This record gives sequence, structure tokens and C-alpha cells, in this order.
Amino acid sequence: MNKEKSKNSISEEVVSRIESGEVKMRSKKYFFFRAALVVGFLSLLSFFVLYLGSLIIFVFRANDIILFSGMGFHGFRVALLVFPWYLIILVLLLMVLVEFMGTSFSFVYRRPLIYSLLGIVIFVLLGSFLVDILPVHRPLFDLAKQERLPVMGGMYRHLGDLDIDDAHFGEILGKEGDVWVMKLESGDTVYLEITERVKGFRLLETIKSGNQIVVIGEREEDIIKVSGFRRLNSHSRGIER
Amino acid sequence: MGDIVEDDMKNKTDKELAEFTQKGNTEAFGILVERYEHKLLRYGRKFLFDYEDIKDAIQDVFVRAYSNIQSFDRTREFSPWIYRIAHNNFVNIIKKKKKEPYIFFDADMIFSLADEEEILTRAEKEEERRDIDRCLKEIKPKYREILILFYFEEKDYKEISDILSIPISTVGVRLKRGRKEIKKIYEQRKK
Repeated sequence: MNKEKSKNSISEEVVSRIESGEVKMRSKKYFFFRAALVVGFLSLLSFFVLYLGSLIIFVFRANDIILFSGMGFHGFRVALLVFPWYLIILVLLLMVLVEFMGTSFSFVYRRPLIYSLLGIVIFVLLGSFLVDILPVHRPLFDLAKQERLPVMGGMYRHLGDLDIDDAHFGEILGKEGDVWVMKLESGDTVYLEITERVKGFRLLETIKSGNQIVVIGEREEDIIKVSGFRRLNSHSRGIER
Repeated sequence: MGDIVEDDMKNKTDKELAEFTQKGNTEAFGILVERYEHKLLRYGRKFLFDYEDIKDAIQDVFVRAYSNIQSFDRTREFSPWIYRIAHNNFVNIIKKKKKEPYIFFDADMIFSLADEEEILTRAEKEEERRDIDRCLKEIKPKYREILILFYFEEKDYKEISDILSIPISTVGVRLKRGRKEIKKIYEQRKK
């Protein structure tokens, strides 16, 4: 009897609140716009993540960061210090946001989140490399160099031409006795002091006058103590600039 | 004549009643409320055992359901949809009162791999249900809720996954852990 009374009271109360107009039904349009907003925001967010991902690849390419990591401990340390960490952290945070927003869809939350996370990682990696192929960052960087890019100009000038401590780009001028002479991008001429660590490198024997190279090492006035070096190919920053 | 129409309404499925409500039929919604209020009261009383005003909380669930009825997808089942609203409401109550911690995110949502749904006989389920009912208050909310939905509300893994918005495999993992905790509590009591 009491059960019946309670049953009636809840349903009756809810219905009476609806009929009195106290409780209103949200329109279909409201939910349509809300869903469109979520999908639109997710799409924009995905494009932005791809833009940032491809910007990271551009920074790596434009500054030859990958080259440094293969130049011994000193080179590895330089690569770590110059890594665009804040961009990488921002991309990771945005990927978590995409994942979080995706969990409102049943095809995402029904499976372990590791699947959707892996999907996002693959999407960002492949998408970033695809965007990197397109003429996006290089033309923007060129415009920025010519001071013709408003708003983002400063960012591109900084990211495309990072100031890297202990990394010296330039051209081999020739040998003075046993010492290599190099002309740096700044126009300075320096002498390369080959340290014990790189003395046995076969690459050292193939270096010729006119080669574009990057050298890792501490500079003391006009002498650089070489702890690592690489010859630059046509895709490297020294040639492109 | 009115009684015939009402009887006709009462024979409709949940989905049909939800569709009538979407078209503005308040009576159809009233029948839905009647169908679900006892189930949700039982769910609420077991999940929020330590709270007062469960009835108000349930009323709030139906008010929210009515406000948002246009978001109900008619190609899906109505039951997980209303239980999802109830779950959100109950979790908000737990959060507000801060009587016990409720963890929204757990590693088992990321890594738990596919787990076959366990088929229990009626007798097995009844026996486990009795044990669970005795220890329910002492168990963490994230396990308590899954045990309630599986043993008392008779929901399957997919429905529970939709209600809690967690992976289906996580439902299996949490059910197993919940049962383990129940066993532990039971054995400790025996000592």
C-alpha cells in the first residue's frame, strides 16, 4: 500500500511539475547545435594538433636537430637542450584533450582507451608527416624572414633559426698545416681543433674544401674544440638558408 | 475511452513511450516514470546508502530525463540512457557531500583487455547477490556501483559500459575485483 503511494507520488509530482511549466523540454535544435559544436571543436582541435605536429618536424628539419643526436654525448646533450619541448608537451596535452572529448562517443569508450590513444598517436604522426610534405611551414618561414608575415612572423623566425649553443654551421675553407679552417655562417673564420674523441673518425678523411659542415664543440675565440661533426647534405639548414 | 487509451499506452515499449514524449505526450513520460522509479530507487538506495532524500534525487533524475529527452537516440535502448542520467546524478551527490572518494579515471580503463562476459546460473547469481548485499556498504563506490548494476539491476556488460561510459573489458575487470573485495570483507568478518 505504502509502496503504491510512493510510486504515485514520484510520477505524479514529476508530471505535475511538467504540466505546470516548471520543467521544460530542451528543443531538438539545442542538441543538434551542441553536437555540431562538439564535432566542430574536435575537428578544429585535430587540425591544430596536426599543424603543431608538423611544426615540430619543421623545427627538427630546419635546425638539423636529428644530426646532433648522432654526434656523441655532447651532440646528444645539445639536441636535448634545443628540442622544442614546449611544443611537444602542448601536442601531448591536446592529444589527451582529444581523447577526453572522444570518450563521449560510444565507439570510443566501449574499448580500452589504449586503442583510441594509439589511434590518436598514429593519426597525429602520419598526419603531421603529411602536412609537413605540403608547402605550409617553409613558405611561412620564408615570409617571416622577409618580415612579411604578421602575427606569427616572430615565432617562425625563432623556430626556423634556433640559437644553438656549441653548434657551429659553416663551410670548410681548407687546411693550414694539419688544422682545418672553417668559415662560420656569421662570417667568422675559425680553426678546428680535433679532439681525441673524433681523431679516428673515417668521415674526417673525406672532408674537403667547400664542404658544408656542422661542428659540435666549445669555441674559445677562433678555435673550436671539435667533439663531433657531420657533413651537411642538400636538405640541411646550411644549404637551405 | 480514456482508460482504453491509457491501457494502450501501458502496452508500449520504453522506446515507443520515449518517442511519444519527444512529440510532447506527457502521459507517456508519466508511464516511463512509473516503470523506472522503483528500479532507480533500488539502485539509488544501494549506491547512496548513506544519504538522505533519495526520493528527491530520483525525482531530479526524471526531471533531467524529461529536459533532455530530445537527445535520446531512438535506435538505442532507453534503459541504459536513464540509468546513465541516474549515475551522473548520484556521482554528483557523492562529490557534493564528500563522504567518500569517487575515482572517475583509473588505469583499468586504459589497459584492461577484452574479457568474456561471465555467465552465471540463477542460483549462483542469487547466492553471490546475498553475500554482496551484506557487504555492499563497505566496498569502494567504483566497485559497489558495478556490482549493483550487474547483480541487482540485472544489466549486462554492454549496458553497464553505456551507463558508466567505461570500456566493456573494464566492466569485467571491476566486477572480478569487486567480488574479490567482497570475499575479503566476508572472510574478515568471519574471523
